[in-house]
Amino acid sequence: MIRTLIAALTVLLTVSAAQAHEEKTGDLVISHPWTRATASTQKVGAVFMKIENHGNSADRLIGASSPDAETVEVHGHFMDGDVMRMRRVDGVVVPAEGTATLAPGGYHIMLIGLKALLLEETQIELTLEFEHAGKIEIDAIVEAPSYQGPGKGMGSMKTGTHGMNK
Amino acid sequence: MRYKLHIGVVLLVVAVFGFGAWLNLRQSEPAEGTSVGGMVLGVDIGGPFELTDQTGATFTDRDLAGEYALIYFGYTYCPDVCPTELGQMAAAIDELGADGARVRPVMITIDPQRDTPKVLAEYVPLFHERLVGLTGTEAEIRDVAKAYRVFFRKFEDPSYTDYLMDHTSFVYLLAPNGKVAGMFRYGTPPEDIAAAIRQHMRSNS
Repeated sequence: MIRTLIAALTVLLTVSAAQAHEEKTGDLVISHPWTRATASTQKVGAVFMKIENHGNSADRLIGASSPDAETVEVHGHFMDGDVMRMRRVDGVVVPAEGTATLAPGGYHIMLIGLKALLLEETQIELTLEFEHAGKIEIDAIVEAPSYQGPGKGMGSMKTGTHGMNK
Repeated sequence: MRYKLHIGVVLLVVAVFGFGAWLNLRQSEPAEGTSVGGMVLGVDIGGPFELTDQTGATFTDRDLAGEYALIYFGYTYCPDVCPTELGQMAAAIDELGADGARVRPVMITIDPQRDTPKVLAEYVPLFHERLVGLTGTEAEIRDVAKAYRVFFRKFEDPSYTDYLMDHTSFVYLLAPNGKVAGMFRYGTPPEDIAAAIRQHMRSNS
């Protein structure tokens, strides 16, 4: 019962956070940008988000930068049979009146050479660069290490606390 | 004439089905790649290994004898797929409730150059309090990956900031007898992994 209540509360909070956590510039709306908390020995991170394009011409995410990382690149995972290959990509197309989703197993913004630990419930600054819309500044929320994405949670409440067991 | 042709067709069909049935009877083990409830069965893989855990101590397959284990081959420099799979593994164990205590989560690195015991010690508790992180020499990792038929290769390119690892992304279920009971493809939901483990526990108790 309590678990259900907590789960329901989490969903409510996540939904309201996702609604509040939105950046709009011109025709582009960036919603719930997130990353995962890291260990001190981890020097990389990945940022995920949803990019909506309300305009009638396509745009392209071509790069990003962050004061929290030495290098920031746009990466994608490509399944070749059963082999996962992570590669840098030239950009991610945001179709006209469409959406580009950066999610685990697909595209992400790769933070290389993290300057500090990414702590849960903090935020990191990120500047996205689009071919047409130009630069958009966003704040990505640092979620639990095993967070799977909005609406997917972390599988269970218990898993989420493992990060705090240190 | 047409009648004879029909008989011929019927005989052929019977022969083909009969041969199929005979083949099926011959294979008491499920055919490789058969998937039941998200678990791929009949994979003749696994075997002994001797590696080093996150505390620097020797850890072998015998340390897992008598309990279930979920084994994942990944690396800590992987910010996307590996945390996702480790999170799914932890969620599957939580999903099992009390039975989850009978399942040990294990991560074996395919990037021993970066993943020293010290690096793993910081990393593994992020996902599960009982997650064991294993590393070894290049040769030891090559051997265990070969035994589990894990493909991995370093991807280096001068235009990249650092090297990356290409790798297969499966979660393996090791039964208490030390045999691999099956494996789960990338993206198998934790509920499906938990259900397959529960079914295995029930049919082997």
